[in-house]
Formats: sequence, C-alpha cells, structure tokens
Amino acid sequence: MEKILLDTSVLVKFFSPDEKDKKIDLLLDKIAQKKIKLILVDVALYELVNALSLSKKISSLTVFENIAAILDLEPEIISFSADLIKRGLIFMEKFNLTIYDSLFIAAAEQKKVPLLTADYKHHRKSISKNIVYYKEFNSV
Amino acid sequence: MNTIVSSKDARAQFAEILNQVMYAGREFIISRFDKPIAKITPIQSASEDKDMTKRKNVISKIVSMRKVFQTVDLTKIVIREREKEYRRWKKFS
Repeated sequence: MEKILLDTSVLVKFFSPDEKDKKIDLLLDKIAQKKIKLILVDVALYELVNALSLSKKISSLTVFENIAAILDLEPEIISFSADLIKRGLIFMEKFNLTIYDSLFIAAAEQKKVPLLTADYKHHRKSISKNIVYYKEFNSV
Repeated sequence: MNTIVSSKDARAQFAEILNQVMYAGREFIISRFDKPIAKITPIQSASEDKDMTKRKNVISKIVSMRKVFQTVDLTKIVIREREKEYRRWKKFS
C-alpha cells in the first residue's frame, strides 16, 4: 500500500478545498478506501486545531468533530521520539527552520515516505528529496 | 442476486446452499410462511459492505464540515502561523 505523510497545509484542504481542486477529493477517497495509508506527525493535529480555531468563531465542539473526522481515517500518527528530534534538529540547524517545520521533513525521512506539502516556503524541495509539492502532485 | 428459499427447503439443502454461498458468493434469503426472515451471505461481502459504509460515512462527515469553512483558506492560515513562529524564533535565535 502506498504511504504518504501529509503536511498540515494539505490536511486542512480536506475541510477547505480550493474551488477547482478535484485532487483533494481523490486523495481523501483513496485514504478512506485504504489504498493510500495516511501518516501524520502529531504536531499536525495541534496545527489543525490552531488553524480551525483561528479561521472562524467556531465552537470547540466543532473543532473536536473535525479532529475526530481525521482520526476516523485511521492515520498512523508519529509521536515524539529521540530519533525524530535528532533528525529534526539537523534539518533545523542546516536549513534555518523552526523545529516544528523540521519535524515534518524529519518524519518523512525517518519513515521513507513522501511529505506532501502546500507550504512551499517552509518546506522547500531543496531541503529533502522526500518533499513533494501539492501543486505538482498527480499520482492520485 | 438474492435467492429466496423456504425454511423447509433451506433445511433440506443446507449443505448445497452453503457451497453456493462459499464458492459462488451467492446470497440466500430464508423465508417462513412467505415472509423473509434471515439472510445467508458470504462473510467477505458482508465485511466489504461494512467497510464501504464506513468509508462513505467518513467522507460525508468531512465534506459536510466544508460548509463551515467555505470562505476560509485554511492552508493560508497554517502558513501564516508558521511564518509568525519562524519570525519569533529568528528574533531570539
């Protein structure tokens, strides 16, 4: 089964897709069908809560329901580990990134999976061969 | 397609019905006094049905939440917040 690590910048598109973007629905369908295994870094869930809370005046219950819907997709969640932090710190130092941004890249490298991102500023392709830009992503 | 068999026939042909379910993937509805009572269905197709229903529920749950965020670009918010964090970090590093 194909595996993919989603950056928060793509994960949030499940809830607010671009108008003409059909890719996100295909991706969602494949994940739900278990044709693609969704991998997330735990930080992504906190970022998701943050983005949802900042987007509109929505209740905490609605935020929770959004998170629960993502968890229903049965993602593999990568949590804190010494190895992940160690890898993250290397990216942080080498590429002048915050630890949060580094963790996604480190996790993709650790799991040997692509990191699908729409954050082209903090996840530059030159940093890692695992980084795949959402705008160039065609394999769904 | 479902085949309807009476409880009397089902009892008499039970081994054959099981073979049809197992090897041909057929489904049988058992009736008593012309009323459908039970269904014999391959386990694999039952679990596939369950998976399909679950999948549709998950997707429709996510899609239904889009109404709330119709005019919002959540990707932009994520990147904006990261940029703020980056600037804060740069200031003190």
